[in-house]
Amino acid sequence: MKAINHTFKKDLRSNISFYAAIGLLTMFAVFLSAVGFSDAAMIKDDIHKIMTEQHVEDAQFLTALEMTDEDISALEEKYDARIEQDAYLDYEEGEKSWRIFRGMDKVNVYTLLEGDDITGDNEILFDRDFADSNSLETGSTYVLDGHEFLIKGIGVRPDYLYSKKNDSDPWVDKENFGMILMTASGYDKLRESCQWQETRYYSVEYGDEERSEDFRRDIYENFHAYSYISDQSNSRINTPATSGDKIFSEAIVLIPVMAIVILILVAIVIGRMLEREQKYIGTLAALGYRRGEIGRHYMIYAIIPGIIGSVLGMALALIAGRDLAMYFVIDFQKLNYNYYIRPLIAVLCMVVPSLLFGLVAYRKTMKIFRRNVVSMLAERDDRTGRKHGMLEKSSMSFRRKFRIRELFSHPGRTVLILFCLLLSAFMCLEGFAMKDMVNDLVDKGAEKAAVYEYSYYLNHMELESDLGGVHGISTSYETPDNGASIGVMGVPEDSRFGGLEMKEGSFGSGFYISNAVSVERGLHKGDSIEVANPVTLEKYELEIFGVVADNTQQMIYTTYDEARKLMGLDEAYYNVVYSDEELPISGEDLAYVSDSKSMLDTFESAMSALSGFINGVMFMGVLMSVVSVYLVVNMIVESNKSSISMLKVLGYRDREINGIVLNTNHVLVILGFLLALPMCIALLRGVSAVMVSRMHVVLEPSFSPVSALICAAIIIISYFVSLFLLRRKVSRIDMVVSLKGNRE
Amino acid sequence: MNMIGGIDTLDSGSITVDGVEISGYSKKKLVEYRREKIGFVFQFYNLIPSLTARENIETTVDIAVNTPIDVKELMEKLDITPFANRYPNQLSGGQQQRVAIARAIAKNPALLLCDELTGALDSKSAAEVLDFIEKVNQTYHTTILIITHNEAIKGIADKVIRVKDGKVISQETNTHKVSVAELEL
Repeated sequence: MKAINHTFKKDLRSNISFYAAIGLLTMFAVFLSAVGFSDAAMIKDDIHKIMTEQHVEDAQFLTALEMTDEDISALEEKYDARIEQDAYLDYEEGEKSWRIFRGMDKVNVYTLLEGDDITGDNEILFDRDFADSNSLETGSTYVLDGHEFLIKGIGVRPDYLYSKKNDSDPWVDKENFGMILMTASGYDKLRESCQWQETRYYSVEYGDEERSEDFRRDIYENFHAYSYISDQSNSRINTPATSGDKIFSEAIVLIPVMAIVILILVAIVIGRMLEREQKYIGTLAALGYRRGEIGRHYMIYAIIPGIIGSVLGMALALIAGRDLAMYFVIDFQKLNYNYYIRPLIAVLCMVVPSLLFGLVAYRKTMKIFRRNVVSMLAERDDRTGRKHGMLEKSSMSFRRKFRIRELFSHPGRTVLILFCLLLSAFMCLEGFAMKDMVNDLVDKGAEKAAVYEYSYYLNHMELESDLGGVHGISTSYETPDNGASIGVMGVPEDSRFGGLEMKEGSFGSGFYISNAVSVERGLHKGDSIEVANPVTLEKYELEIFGVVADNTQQMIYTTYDEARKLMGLDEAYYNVVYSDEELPISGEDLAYVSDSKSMLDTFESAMSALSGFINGVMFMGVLMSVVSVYLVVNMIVESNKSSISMLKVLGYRDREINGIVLNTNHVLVILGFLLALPMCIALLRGVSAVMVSRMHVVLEPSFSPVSALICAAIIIISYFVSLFLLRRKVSRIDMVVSLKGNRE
Repeated sequence: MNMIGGIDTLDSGSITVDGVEISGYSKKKLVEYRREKIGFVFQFYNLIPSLTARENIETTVDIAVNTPIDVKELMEKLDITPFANRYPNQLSGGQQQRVAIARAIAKNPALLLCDELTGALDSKSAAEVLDFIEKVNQTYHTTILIITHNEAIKGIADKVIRVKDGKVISQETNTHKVSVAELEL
């Protein structure tokens, strides 16, 4: 076998484009598989680890009666729980705001990501996102409202991995919201020396989750609990905690499909390459080589691009996998993720492509052996005979008939190229459509979420003072079916809320759900929704009178009076002030302020991060188009080599030959694109549903005709780039060599 | 023959066809030369497998510079009509070679080059094909250059040139021209 194995070098040189294209596609499939599963596993494992080891809370609550250390110890023992009072200070300056946390011992314990731990009173740790966005360096001094701090490093709390300032914010604002961690004594000293707003609450981690309801009743009855937010209702915890599983469930559906498609494409190409080798196989057989020996020879022939592609794909996965994973967790604090390719994935990625290609080559070789040696030497397949049969009696020009027959006489090849073009167009369309969806949300989302320029959320129920503006009331409930949080907003009557844009019904008295709730829960006008008071666990069945066109908030809108009635408030309490002017409300009264401009900024910054990922999808679509079209049209050129050569002999110009041979698939580009459109729209609906369940916002499927045209142009250009590359191949086909090839 | 036909280039010497020196032609000019002046017939027919007999003939009509011969008429005259709609793999060797000849002459070339045109055929088919070539010569007055190792074929030629190891060793006018039926193939 040594003698025939010497031909590898020659094969490699003469089929360099084949090896490059197969290697590239294999690399793509391996990279996608290795990165997709490893990223999902990494995100799941590392977030779970930090939440478990740092004792993330299962719930936080507020009580009217203060709990003493003894009370806490007694409850901990009774319910096998860890309970600790949590505290933070809020300070704002211009657009920026800071939240300074007191170091915890039992629950929500921070973890040091970088630098040295804090020990001194003026030493602080920053969160990584804010430090990166504001170019803060470890070892430098940071001054806040006249207080000097020494930045010792970077840290993160397990309950603030998704670091939204307020849980009701649609997205994080990494640049303007900073989190500072201090030692307990440093924090206490700072609190005494500043006038910043402090928030205190209790955090609990259950040893036995099943006893949580008893615990909630206990604190309600004995300590007059008036607020209880479970981790299911707390998007800062729930969103990162479930992200790994969600990415994994998407990866397990999408990645194998893509990888299998690519590997099948490669396997088909290898099969057709071997078809061209039948004369050589026949010669070896005539010389006395055994079938097994020849089969093994061609196995290695096919395994080479498999190994090259696998190695390159794995190398790329090792280099770029971690950075790519960051797109999946772009909204969360950057942890020190422990990225590595999972051993099982690594083995599968290294073995499956080569094994598959090798087996395809072996099987194809054995199949060729079913022909007799004479047929092989004459490069004929006498067993089946090629069937071209169509349009024999038509008066159509032979050029057109040639193209039509090329399409229909090789249905497998045609379906394959159609599928590749469809997939490419689909990926490209998907990228553009997602961009349109995101732009639509950015353009309209902030506008719909903010009726007034400013919304002041108070940290208490106000009754006596009139703080200006118009007054509303807002509170949070749970949905008993899944424990998720849902806001109830009582909006002032005779205000601009009367003109809320509606999806269903018209706004008046009664309860109205936001479109985000409607889409996520499949509820509409006339249905009802069950909510529970998170403190008393009392349940209420609310009839839905309509759907408000609010895609960004999980909210039930109602009138101020209805809300008060629901909450059991007899007097005209309020805790939200709406105004178009900035109001001089003291920081002591405020929980937070929401203004339309900062909301728009937040939307834009969150969506610009997503754009990178979308561009990546589009690039892959284009790459896929160029490579797959190149591979398949290359197959057409190879299988028509002698016809091309003959057309040259007859005096056809290269341009004319290109027109006959290369332009066979034009119709498939159009067909692929047209088929990709409805697929894209269907997937957009799916993406919209995923975004609702993952981020609780609705991305309305939206796709502009301009985007469709740009996308069509990209696909057509990439298609013609492939054809342009192949023109050189056609022009290099030598008349003499081909004619000799036919003669031997 | 490849060099005369403009599908190969020469390292030394020169080729003059119809009084024109073609050895210095560029690739582009050679394409035009083949297109206008040359018709080829090969030992192994080289028909395009996905085209029928009629369509194979049409490939040259499509690019003909001179007034092409009517395909229908050509097929009638050369007895191709009965299998005009069949594909090459449905034809015998003799039939394929007849289609190849029809294809070569359909564009009405000045020179028809035949390379071992009976080399892959049995004696009966070879006789049919030669008869056919003769018919072409008589009907369309096409100059035909046949290259062969078969001595017997020289009987139907007007002029016989012998070549050995790339050199012309003799040139003679055939004064005893015979019909195909008289050839001992």
